[in-house]
Amino acid sequence: MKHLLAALALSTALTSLPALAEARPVTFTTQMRSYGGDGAYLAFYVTDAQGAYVGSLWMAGGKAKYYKHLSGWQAATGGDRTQVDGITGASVGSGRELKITLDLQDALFDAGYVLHVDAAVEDMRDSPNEIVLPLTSDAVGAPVTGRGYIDTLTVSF
Amino acid sequence: MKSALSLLALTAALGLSVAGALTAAPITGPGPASPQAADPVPSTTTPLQLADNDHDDGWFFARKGARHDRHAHDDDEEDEDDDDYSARGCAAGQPACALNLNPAPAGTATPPANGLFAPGAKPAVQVN
Repeated sequence: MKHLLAALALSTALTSLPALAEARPVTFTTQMRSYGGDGAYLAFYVTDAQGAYVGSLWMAGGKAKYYKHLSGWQAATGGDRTQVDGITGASVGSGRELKITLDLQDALFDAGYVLHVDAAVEDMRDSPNEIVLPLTSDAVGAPVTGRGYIDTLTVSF
Repeated sequence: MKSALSLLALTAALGLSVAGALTAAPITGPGPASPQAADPVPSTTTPLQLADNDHDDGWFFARKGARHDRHAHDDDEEDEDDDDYSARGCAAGQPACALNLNPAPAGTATPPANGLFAPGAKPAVQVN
């Protein structure tokens, strides 16, 4: 009986592991508008179906003192910069294109998760929730228009 | 008439007391104290100077100059000062300081274990 239980536990673990580890590279291509200001700070983060913060995907802009202007991200994280340790790069200039490729869990798609992008530019208006994009298979490959500094955001596999 | 007399008497009294005080405690200039004078202050103490004609290295001017220099430095390196806040002004472990630290750039640390990234994932970024 003991051996049977152990074998059952082992087989359960082996079959569930691939599901946990399944991931794929996902590319987020962000085309900025020519807004004529300094480099934009962009926060990419994910909320669940209930709107609760799950985690951050990318932070464009390395100075934490400006993160308060990314007000959606700030409210969700309390400004905790450890949320973006290892996933932070430079701010994105006016008219430039930012392409980020991340190995993300498959479970992120078609499970009610929503991608948010906040944007902020020095001496210009903050733009929280510049992009709000439900992470579904349908969203892949279709450019989404931003409402301020971002012209389009495209998610692709 | 009475009031004029009393005013005169008051003036005379005041004048006498001031003159008396001056003669009782003669002011000596800087230099060695006279041996017969009782001096409670140790001789190593710098004599009091009521005015300083040396405008080049006085406290006020030195301080003013230093302040000016410091401001010029701040103007030149405003951003660097702000960025170094955590390194110069915060003790480790203070929550307020943690909020002012800059995050680790991509490639220098692993992405956060927030369940979104595949284990060991390394982000790739390109700006065109």
